Amino acid sequence: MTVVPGGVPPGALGLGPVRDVQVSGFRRPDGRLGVRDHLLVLPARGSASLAAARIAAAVPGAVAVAHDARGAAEPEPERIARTLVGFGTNPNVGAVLVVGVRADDAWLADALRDAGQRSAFVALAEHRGTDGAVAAGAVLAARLAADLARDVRSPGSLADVVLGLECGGSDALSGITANPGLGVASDLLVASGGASILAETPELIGAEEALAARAVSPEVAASVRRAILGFESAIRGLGVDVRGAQPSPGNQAGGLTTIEEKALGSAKKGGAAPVSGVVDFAEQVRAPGLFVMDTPGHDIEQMVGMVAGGAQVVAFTTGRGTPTGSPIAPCVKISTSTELYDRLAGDIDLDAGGVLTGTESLERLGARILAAIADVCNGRLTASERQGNREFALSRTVYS
Amino acid sequence: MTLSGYARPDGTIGARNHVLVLPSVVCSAHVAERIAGTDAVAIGHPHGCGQVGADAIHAAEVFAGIAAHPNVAGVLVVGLGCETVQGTELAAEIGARGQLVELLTVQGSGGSARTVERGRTVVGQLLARAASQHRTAAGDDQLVLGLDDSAAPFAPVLRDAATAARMRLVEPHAGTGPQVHADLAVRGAQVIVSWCPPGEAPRGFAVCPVVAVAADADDFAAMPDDFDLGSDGPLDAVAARILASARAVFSGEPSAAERRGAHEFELRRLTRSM
Repeated sequence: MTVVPGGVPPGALGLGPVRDVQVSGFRRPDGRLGVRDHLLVLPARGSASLAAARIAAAVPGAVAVAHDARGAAEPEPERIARTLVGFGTNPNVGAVLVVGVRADDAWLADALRDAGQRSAFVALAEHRGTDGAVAAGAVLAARLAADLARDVRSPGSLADVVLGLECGGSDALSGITANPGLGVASDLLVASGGASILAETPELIGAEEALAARAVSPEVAASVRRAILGFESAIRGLGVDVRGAQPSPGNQAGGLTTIEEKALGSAKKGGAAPVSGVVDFAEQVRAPGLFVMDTPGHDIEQMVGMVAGGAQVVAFTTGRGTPTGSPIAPCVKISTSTELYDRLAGDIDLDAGGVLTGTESLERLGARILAAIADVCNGRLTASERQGNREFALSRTVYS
Repeated sequence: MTLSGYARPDGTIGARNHVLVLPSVVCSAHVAERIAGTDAVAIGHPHGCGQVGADAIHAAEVFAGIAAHPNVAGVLVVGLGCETVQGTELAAEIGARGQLVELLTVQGSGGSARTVERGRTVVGQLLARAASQHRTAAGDDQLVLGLDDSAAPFAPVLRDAATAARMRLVEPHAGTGPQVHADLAVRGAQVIVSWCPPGEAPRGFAVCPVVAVAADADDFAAMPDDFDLGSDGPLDAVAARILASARAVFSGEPSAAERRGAHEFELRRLTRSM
């Protein structure tokens, strides 16, 4: 897919920039702002995942991901490389220790370094296997951690923020409370020079014309249709019924009846802003505006795609409740109802239920969500960070 | 040679007596990991949501199959509540196969922290029950070996040797390597022989000990701690070493993967996530 560059036509939203919300973070050499300063231990392939996990467990402050990348046997090497490099160069990552099997896995550490990231590399085959690589890797990781300890926050602004928009475990209230509230927050961010990513393509099936009509150009409109209709035809090509997964059993129990109903509610997370561009899975979002990213609806694959694309923070609405988060990007969880917020309090950050009971307008909810996102950018831990959630998954379109 | 293992009610023999904490979906995998601690085995995986058709059916079948496996003494299924592979249905299926199974869902238990607290109590009970079970004598005819790559050069000789010893050998219908370990376990393998291609490092598996055989002499020399066996020498000698190692591992000797803590799990996916 061609990356369509962003940008927002002046005055397109009828909103001025938000001036009373402050954002701070770690300014990176490429100019982007990290809202966290993680030391990431990143396996180059699945068989190095155990060593990566053991290294991170041995070094305070380090976080590892586990995945199943297959090295030379990988069916989609370009997509997997784009995901791993994008994830490792997210501005929330201050340094990366790449763990490989043999010396040729150092390509990943080299790619990260070429992109301006601090990185180091350890290989199982150079240390007799996992145990030796864990010991050697822990020494390297401790050195990187000492480097990171010298990093300091500096002032930034909402224009530095790339926000990933997500919904998971949706219910019939998602499209009424939390999603439109998040849409207001997204519009305020875009009006302030920031960027938002609307993703989960299968959950946009049925909303393609509404989104295409908001595109900044005919080319972007065509890209919106191509992404959404392309996903739908890929699903048909598999000979499977998308309605088997969408709406999911939990969505249906939550009152959602059709994929179109779910899609129109899902798209509300993107507010009313013009659609500035369309990017493929894990492609970089480096311009202001609202972008559509072509990702699966799978919560974790989607989150990884947006974070690999540069999102420093994710806002995640939920009707059924889900505890997930990213290893490197704070995830602000927003409940669609007060009942859910009370029931799953330790997993949810904000309650959008006031819109239903009439105690809060969508405009006030949107401003409150934006302020919470800024607080989290400034260092406040989210519920999923406190619980230690750090889900990760690679997204493939083919499996053999 | 006489083997020893855990006798199960259905007549099968377990090489291990694991307590499994099985998330039905990626969203409850972290809670499962927190519940399992170091004494139980948590299945970490990024699946169970956004799967459709044969791919979703295969996932549910694999989860049920590894949970009802003879190497497993008891299972706690941890669901989220709204997932595609429903925790409630999975737990019912595992129970129907005669396995001891408990169920918790994150949405039904009041969130992560409460699910972890309740889960640890359940797992403590499952571990206590497992600790009361002991190994008994078993014969070669009760050993089911899995081989993760039918193209391994020693495969024909190993098939003959296994037949001569009255062992069963199961091989993949589709795929090779770590991706098929779960499929082999579902088909009854208690010990998996893994043929590790050149340049790769060997993997462990969640519920079965793996005997890792290096295809490449350089790999074996460079990562001796992670392999169980090299593959140099005549093929019949290689096959004999594999069978001897599989017997020892079956009866309780830790494999290299078990020594390094590799209880890994991969699901062979059939189609993309939705």
